[in-house]
Amino acid sequence: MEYLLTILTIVGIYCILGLALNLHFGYTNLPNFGIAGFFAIGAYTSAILTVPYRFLEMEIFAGFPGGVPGRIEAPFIVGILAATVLSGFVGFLIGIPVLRLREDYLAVASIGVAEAIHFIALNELWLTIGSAGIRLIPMPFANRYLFFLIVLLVLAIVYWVISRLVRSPFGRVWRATREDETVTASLGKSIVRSRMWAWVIGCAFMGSAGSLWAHYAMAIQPGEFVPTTTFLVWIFVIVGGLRNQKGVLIGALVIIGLFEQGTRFLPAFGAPYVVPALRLIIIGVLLVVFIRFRPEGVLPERATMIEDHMKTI
Amino acid sequence: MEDLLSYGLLTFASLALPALGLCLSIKVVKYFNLAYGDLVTLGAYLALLFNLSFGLNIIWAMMITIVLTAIAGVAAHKGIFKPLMDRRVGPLTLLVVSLGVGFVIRNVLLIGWGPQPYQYKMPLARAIHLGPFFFTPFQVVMIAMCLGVAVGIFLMLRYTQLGRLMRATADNPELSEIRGIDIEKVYSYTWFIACGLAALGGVFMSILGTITTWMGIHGLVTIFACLIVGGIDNPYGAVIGALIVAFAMEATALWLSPPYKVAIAYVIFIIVLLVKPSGLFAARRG
Repeated sequence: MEYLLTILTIVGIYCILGLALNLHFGYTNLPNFGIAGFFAIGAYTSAILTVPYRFLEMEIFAGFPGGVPGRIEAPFIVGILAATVLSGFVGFLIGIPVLRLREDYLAVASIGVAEAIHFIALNELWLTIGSAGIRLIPMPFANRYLFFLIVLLVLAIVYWVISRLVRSPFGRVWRATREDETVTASLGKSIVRSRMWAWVIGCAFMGSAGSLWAHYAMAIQPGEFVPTTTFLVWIFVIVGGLRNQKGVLIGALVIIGLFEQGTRFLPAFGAPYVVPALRLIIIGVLLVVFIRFRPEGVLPERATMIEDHMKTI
Repeated sequence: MEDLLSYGLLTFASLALPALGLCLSIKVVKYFNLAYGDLVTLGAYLALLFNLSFGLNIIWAMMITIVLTAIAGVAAHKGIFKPLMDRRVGPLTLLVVSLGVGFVIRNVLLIGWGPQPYQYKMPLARAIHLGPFFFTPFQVVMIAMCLGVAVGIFLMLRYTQLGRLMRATADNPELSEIRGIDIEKVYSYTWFIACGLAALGGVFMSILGTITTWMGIHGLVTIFACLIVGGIDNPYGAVIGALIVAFAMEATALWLSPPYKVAIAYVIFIIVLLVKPSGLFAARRG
C-alpha cells in the first residue's frame, strides 16, 4: 500500500510535467527540451526557502562556509508559490531570445538552457550547496497520505487551468498558430505574445511540479535534473497522446508507473546500471515504434465540435 | 596567451568537424537529428573498443571507427528516418524520433561499458615546442587532420560532382528530383560524411577529455552553439563559429572560472540570438 502510494505520488508529479509539456508542444508547437531545468528551478527555490536552519548548521559543522539555504525557513505554501512564480519568470527571460527560433532549433536551445541551470546548481555553492544537494526539506504535515492529496490538488488545478485556457479564445489562437502562423498573423493576432504566454504558463507549472518533488523526496541534488528526466516526460506525452490531456495522464501512469517505478522488484541481473539502462532502451524503442505506427498516441486529439462552441456561447 | 592559443586550437579541432557535419546534415537532409550527439559518443566508444580491447594503434582504431559509425548512421537513416520522410511527416516529428534513437544508442553503450569514464591507451610522447606552442605529437596530428579534413570537405562541396549534387539538393529538393538527381542517394552520402565527421570529432574530444556516455549530449549543445554563431546553414560559418566558441571557452577556463567553461558557449549563443538571430555569417541567398 505504501509502495503504491509512492508510485502514485511520483506519477502525479510527472503528470503535472506532462500536462505542461502538452501545453507547450501539443497545443502551441513549442518543443521544450528544457523541462529538467524548470523542474530544477522549482525544486531548488522551494528547498532553499523552506529547509530548516538545522540543515545549515550541520553543513557549517562539516566545513561549509554558510550560505542562503536554511536562513529563511518559510512554510511550504510560500515555497510552492515562489517556485511557480520564479520558474515562470525565468521562462519569460529565456523565452525572449529562444522563442524567436524555428521549432527544431528551439528544441536544442532549450536543452542548452537546462544544462546551464544544471551547471548553476552544481557550482553556485552559496545558493545550492553544490553536488551534495539539499537535505532535510520538510514534507508538509509530515504525512504521505496528505501529501498525495496535495499533489492531486495541484494536478487538478493544472488540469483545469490548461483545459480552460485551451478552450478560451486565447487557446484558439494557440492552436491556430500551431496549424498556420501566417494565417493567424494576418487575422491580426499577435503570435509572439500568445506563444510567450503559453511558454511562461507551462514553465511555471513545471516549477510547481519541481517544488512538489523537493518536498516529497525531502532531499534534492543537481544530478537528478539531467536530460533523462526531460526525455521521460517527452516519451510518455507522445505515447499517451499529444494534445489530449487524458492521454497524457494515461501515458504517465503506464510509462512512469509501470516501467520506471513498477519494475523495481524484478530480479536484477548484471551490474547495477544494466536494468535501468534496459528500461530506457525499451522506452526509446517504444517511442520510435509509436511514432512510426500510431503518431497520434493512445488517445488522439479530440476535434472541437461546432456544438461545443455553440454551448459556450 | 600561449596557453589560450594552444588550448583554443585543440578545442577547436574537436568541435569544428562535428559542427561541419551537423551543418551539412541540416542543410542537405533538412531535419535536426538529436541522435547526432550520441553518434559522437558512439564513435568515441568504438575507437575505445578497437584501441583498448583489440589493442590497435589509436590512428587505426580511429580510421575503422569513422567507417563503422558512418555505416551505422546511414543504416539508422535508411531504416528509421526514411520511411517517415516518405510519409511526409514534419521535421519536428523526425526530431522526436531521433530523440528515441539517441536514447537507445546511449543506453546500449551504458550497458556495454558502464558509467565509469575511460581514456584511450596512447603511447607516451614528449611534448614539443612549435614556436610559442607546446603540443604532443598527436595533438599536432589532430589539428592538422582537422584542418585538412575541413578543407577537403569545402573543396569537395565546391568542385566535385557529389558536392554539386549536395548543394543542388540543399537548395531545392523537388527541383533536383525533377532534374533526375537521385536525392535519396545524396541523403545517404551526406549522412555518411556527417556521421564520419561525428566519429572523428568524438575521438578528438575523448583524447582531450575522458569518454563517458554523456559526452555526446553535452557536446551536441556546444556544437549547436557553433552553428548558431556561424549561421545555421553555412558550412564555412560552422567552422568559424567553432573557432569563436572554442576560444571563448578556453578564455573562460583560464581567466574566469573553469566550471563555467561549457556554460559560456550557451551565453554566446543567447547573445548571438538576441543581436543577430541569423548568425554572424548567414549564408547568402543567390
